[in-house]
Amino acid sequence: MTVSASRRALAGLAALATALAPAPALAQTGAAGGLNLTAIALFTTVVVGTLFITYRAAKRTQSASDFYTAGGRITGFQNGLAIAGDFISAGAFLGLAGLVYGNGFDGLIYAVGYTTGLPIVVFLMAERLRALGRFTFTDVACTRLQEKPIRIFAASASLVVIAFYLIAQMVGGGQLIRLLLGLDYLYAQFIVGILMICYVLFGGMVATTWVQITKAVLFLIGGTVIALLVMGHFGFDYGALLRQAVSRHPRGEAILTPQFLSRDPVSAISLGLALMFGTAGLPHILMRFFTVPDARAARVSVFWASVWMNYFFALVFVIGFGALALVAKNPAYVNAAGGLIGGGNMAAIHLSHAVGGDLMLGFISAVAFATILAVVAGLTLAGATAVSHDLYASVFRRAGASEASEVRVSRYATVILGIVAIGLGIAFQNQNVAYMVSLAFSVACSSTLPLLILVLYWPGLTTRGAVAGGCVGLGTALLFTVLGRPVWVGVLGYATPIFPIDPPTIVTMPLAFLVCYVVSVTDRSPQARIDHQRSASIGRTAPPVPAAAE
Amino acid sequence: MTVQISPPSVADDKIGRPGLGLALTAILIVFYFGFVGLGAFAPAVLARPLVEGGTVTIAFAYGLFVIALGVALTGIYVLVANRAGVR
Repeated sequence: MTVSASRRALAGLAALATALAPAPALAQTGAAGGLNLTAIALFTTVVVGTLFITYRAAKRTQSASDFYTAGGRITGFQNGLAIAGDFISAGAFLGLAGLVYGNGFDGLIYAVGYTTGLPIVVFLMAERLRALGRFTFTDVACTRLQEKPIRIFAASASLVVIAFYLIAQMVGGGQLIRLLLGLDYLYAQFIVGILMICYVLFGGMVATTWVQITKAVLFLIGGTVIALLVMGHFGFDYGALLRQAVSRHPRGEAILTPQFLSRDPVSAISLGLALMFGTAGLPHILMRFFTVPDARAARVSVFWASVWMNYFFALVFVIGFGALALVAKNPAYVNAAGGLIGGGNMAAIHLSHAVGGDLMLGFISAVAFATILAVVAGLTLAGATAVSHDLYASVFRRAGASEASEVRVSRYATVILGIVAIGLGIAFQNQNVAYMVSLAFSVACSSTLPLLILVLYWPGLTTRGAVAGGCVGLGTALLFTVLGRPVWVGVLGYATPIFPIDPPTIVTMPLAFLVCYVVSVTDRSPQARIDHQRSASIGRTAPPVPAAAE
Repeated sequence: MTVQISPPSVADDKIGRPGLGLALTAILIVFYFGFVGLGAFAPAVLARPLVEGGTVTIAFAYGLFVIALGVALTGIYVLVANRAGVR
């Protein structure tokens, strides 16, 4: 697609978004009853603004490396904000506030868990990944192991993880649009899906990086303002805030301390594992370490990322309980049955209206929506990369794949992923989004993470061991998720799950490591000898001369 | 296609330092799973108020502490690694 064609299409899309916003014909009401024109106007402005950034960035997307990793031109501080932006997703903000609203401190377990993921990536992997000079986890694995089977496995695992993560964002985005514009959930899903496809198609990673930065800054400001307003409401006395929250929740004082951990300790530790180590297996997070010029900038960027991200998760302590204190039992925000209008993920959005009126509602909705679009775009891009770079260019069309055809396949993959995302968003529409994110983490923990750790740290790993362990981990994680609470009870509607541990990480992650190990040490194939030779020559001491021009 | 972005510099040769990374990982694991473990096996400890008669429980303080610890440990790692890179 030529740049001018994409420019025209994007301008058309922006016009469409503007045209759509003021004319929602369907029944449901906005947050405060009736359509909220102030909020919608502000919302449209911010969303069109981010589209404009994408459009500007599109003009600079020249080569495949621009499309994937912003050409390595982003500074450390900027990249730190972008990494934080990846984490401060709809899952974080809407989902966590919703979890705290529903379950009290149990929701904060997720908030605390999310903050432990990035440090693990930094301490154990970032350095080694960069030193290998490869920009997806698959490329790293291929420096040591046989390319074809590894790429096929890695692309499949990435796509599954991305699918779970996408569900969370799509559900959050759909509920938000439904609440704000009064549209039917189905139409809301299509709007989210189409906008997301356009982001990636016309901008690539440059756009998603800049959108992430813009949105991270807006979100940090918005979150801070809401937290300050909430605290101001209670005379900056956190104890007073909690007292009111306790009075509004049916379980009373129990919400001030973790509950489900002691009810099901095995699942608790399993969840802890998934939250802590899952991040390291997320494909779209790993890509970010390659958008800065050098290792020093990469380290600086992760420091800033951890500062902003952890600050944001700390804000959830105020925002989550603030929603409970100010939104629960308020007839403007809950329906006759006592549930939140617009669904359980909308607690933070209602809170923004409760403390800041229509303007704050519009602003926070817009930033949350831009967040969702950007995270979804980043995910889709990672998925499209898996298809075009791992499957198409390296496996199926090895000899003849030109850079242009790879970018073209990547664009087709983006469209298909967008359509799949819309379907999944509709299937999982009643799930809490922070919970869905934890499922993505659990799959990542059991499939990509064991491979990555072993490739970086254990020279004995062979191709056969890696593929066997990875497939067992991926397969069992997926199977137990379907047979466990999330799908068996949540989507299919059965009363009790077949597999009791939710998430299944505590079983599937050690299993993946074990299979990798056992198959590797018993592997006597000719390929195993090649693997050992290659790891002896590159693996541990110096970075290899990167085999460019593949 | 060329996928090589920002080629490894001389400083990148020091991809070792697994000691520091592993030590910091261990610290974070101990405190984070301490939190999860207390919640799972000794919930009464986390349910105690931070100040006698107050509403804020130890769970809040411990949770915030883990969040702050993540930043602090990352800061230590970046400082040490960048010093070593300059030398």
